[in-house]
Amino acid sequence: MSQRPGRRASSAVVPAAALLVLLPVAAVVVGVLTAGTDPWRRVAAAGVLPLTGTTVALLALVLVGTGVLGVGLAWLTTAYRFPGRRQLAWLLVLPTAVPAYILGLVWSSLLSYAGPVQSGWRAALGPDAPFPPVQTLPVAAAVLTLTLYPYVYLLARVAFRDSAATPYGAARTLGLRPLQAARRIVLPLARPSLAAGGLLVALETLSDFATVQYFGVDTLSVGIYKVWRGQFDRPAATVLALLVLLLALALLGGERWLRRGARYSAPLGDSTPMAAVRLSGWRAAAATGACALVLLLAVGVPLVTLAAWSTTTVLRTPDGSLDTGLLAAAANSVLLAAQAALAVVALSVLLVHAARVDGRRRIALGVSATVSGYAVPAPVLAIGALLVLAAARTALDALGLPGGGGLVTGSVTALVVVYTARFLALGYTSTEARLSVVSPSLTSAALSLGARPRRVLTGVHLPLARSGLAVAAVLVAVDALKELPIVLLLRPFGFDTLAVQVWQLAADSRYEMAGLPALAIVVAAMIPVVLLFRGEADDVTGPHPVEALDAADVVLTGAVR
Amino acid sequence: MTALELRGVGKRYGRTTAVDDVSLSVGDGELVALVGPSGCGKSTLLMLAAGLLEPDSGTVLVRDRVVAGRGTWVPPEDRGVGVVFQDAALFPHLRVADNVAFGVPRGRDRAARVAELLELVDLPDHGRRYPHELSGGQQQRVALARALAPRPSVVLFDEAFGNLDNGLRASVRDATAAALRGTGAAGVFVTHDQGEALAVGDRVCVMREGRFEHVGEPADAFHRPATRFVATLLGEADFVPGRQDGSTVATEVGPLAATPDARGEVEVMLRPHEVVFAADPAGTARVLRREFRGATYLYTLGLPSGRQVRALVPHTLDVPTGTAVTVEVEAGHPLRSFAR
Repeated sequence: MSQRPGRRASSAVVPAAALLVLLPVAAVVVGVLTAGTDPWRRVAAAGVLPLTGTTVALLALVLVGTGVLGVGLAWLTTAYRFPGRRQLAWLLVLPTAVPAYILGLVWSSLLSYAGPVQSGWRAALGPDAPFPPVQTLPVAAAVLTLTLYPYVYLLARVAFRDSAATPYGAARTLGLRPLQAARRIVLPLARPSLAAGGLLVALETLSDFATVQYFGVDTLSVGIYKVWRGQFDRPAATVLALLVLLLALALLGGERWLRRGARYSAPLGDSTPMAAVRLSGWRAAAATGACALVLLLAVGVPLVTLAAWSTTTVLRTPDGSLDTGLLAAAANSVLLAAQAALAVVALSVLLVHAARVDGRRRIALGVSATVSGYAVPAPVLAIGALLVLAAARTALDALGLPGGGGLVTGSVTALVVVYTARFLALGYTSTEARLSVVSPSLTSAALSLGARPRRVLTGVHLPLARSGLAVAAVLVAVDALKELPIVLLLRPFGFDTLAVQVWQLAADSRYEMAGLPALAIVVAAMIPVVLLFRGEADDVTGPHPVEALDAADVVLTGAVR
Repeated sequence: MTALELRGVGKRYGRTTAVDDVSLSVGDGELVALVGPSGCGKSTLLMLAAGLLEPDSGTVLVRDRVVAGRGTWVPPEDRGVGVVFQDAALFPHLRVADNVAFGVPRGRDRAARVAELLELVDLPDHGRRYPHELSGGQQQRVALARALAPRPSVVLFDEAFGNLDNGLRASVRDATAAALRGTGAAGVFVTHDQGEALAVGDRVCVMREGRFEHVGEPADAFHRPATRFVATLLGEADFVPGRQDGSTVATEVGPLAATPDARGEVEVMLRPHEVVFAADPAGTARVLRREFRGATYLYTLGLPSGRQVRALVPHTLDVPTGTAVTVEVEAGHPLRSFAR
């Protein structure tokens, strides 16, 4: 529908951005193809089959968990009215601000043998009372579920609100009870959105190798980390990365399959709000209680725990001196996040602009290749980047140029570049969402008045989208602040960020020390969630929530439409 | 027996009052048109009747049974009220026949009922199609068939023809009214098109800011509107000041026969088709503008006082602007007068 002005973008920004994402993936594939069978043998010895089995089991558990929790809560807050519903509806997005590696840290500490839960258990039932084991796959899956369900929740809510409300009302007037109408009408209509939400959850689960390690769960991504950081076995790590990539592709295919035949999309627009049923008595209390319990487990307990830990260790090392390491890590985090945000937003603006001004097919292809970067799990991107950097070093050495060594042992610049590749999808989609307020006919009007593309950018697009770009930058910065897998795999020796500190302190079971950096991350991550979602609970007029949250749901919701 | 009755129904959204103390009784088989500007609360009123919204006050009755109010709440699925939505709201993943069958209990005559209804809306061969394969008018007719299938006592139409283009709209609308009359179900049409309201309804309800300003037969609403708002909403109208004594009003276009609704200083409502004029060098009025409307011209005439009235005359009356004319009124019935 958008008009396609026939202008050509002069810059090479589109292919460059696409390469940023495609090159690491290609490097992984080529790396495996050229490495022969040796690394496969080492991977087999490291137990690749159990690793794969554990990964698949974890994926299945988390998908079921987030599906039940996300769809259930979305349905509860859409189709029923109960005390606190409006506030709870947006608060339930908040768990996305608590990264899995922090939620996992809190719960593994609270549930440990010396922790308050087991201590209380023993105090109540005697010193030898058996407690179910904590270091297990289901507990890891539960933690991931609690922080990842908002993907499903949000997409389900949008689907319920935008495409299912009127058909639901119609089904009710035709004699169906609320739950019958939900099963026969709402769920089939929401299936594409739910598949998209599930894909996001699965990709995040696949990327994680920090959280699961607290619970002794060895997945393929854990394998990548151990093989690379422990044994510096790059070929074996590459093979594992390829397996993770294949799993991601399988998930992508599964999502496409679930979206098959989604040619029918109910019209968006002035849908009447869903006829919500008012709950009363114990039902109302149960509904409020269920939402509150989820929030308590996913946000309340972690916040209180981290705050309590922080007060005991404010900026002090155990011997009482000022903790300069923490300050340095905080500075590193902020600098890295700021650089990544700037790079991503600048690149996104150029990409959006190119796609608008130049309607050629190859531009559209390049852009979608760039945006598809969301589907590349972080460890794969990191290992791929490592291979590209190694190749660059070889090239530099061959030419007799200095500086090659630093590339492979990691450099902050390399980190920024990989972050940019990782978050470009988020940046692009939120920038495009912001720029969508600038109607395509404005672009055409400017071009028809004789403005050159650069002037369209500086004179029309940028001034109109300025405040929106700030929001995009904040979203990217916060995600970069939370990012752990990439920085763990690629950081230069001695380079700490807040996320790395949390991870290392947790690995050493020095939970209290991790309180302050973890709290800083959570509080920072809450800012955009609160800004974007507060007040969204109004089912009739709220802004489209897809603008917020993380990268990919924006991408996917765009694809769902 | 009444098919649908509203007694003092009210609904608020925050501080806005969407529906304010509205009462209405729809008899069996009656067609009522609900007309008003957008945002006047007419769609909200429908949703309250259907049970898709809960009223804050008042009582809703379907077939003399309380379904909302007085501590009672009957959910939409148990009300026997059909709804046809503006966008048809067909279930996109179900075939046409399955859409129509949706509200019919499983049983032997289900397929027969579906066939019967598709026949009624003149789409007998479309049962195996999907909604997206139908045109807008066809979708709207399937939506009607689906709403009628469970034999509701009343069907509510929420701007059901608003998405269709003009030519199609009249034919779908008339087919709908005919189908409805064929089943004996009552119907309530929400529309913002005054022509549609006057053409379809046995009665017309004019709604403004959550209240009814006029409830009555179409001709009555058109010729004797309760308020100036109703007068201008239902058609073009000009108001000429005058002094009323009994059933005569002295105005600058001469004495006019008026309904004895007011006395003293009044304004008389003139519809353009009631105004006639003739070129007359001694005339005190002037032709200011004219607008070609195909079969007719709409002339705007300036009266000596500076007031303007419009006259709708056959296109054969060709008078250039600036011509001096005399104005007369040929209504054929007493005119509505409003106190000034």
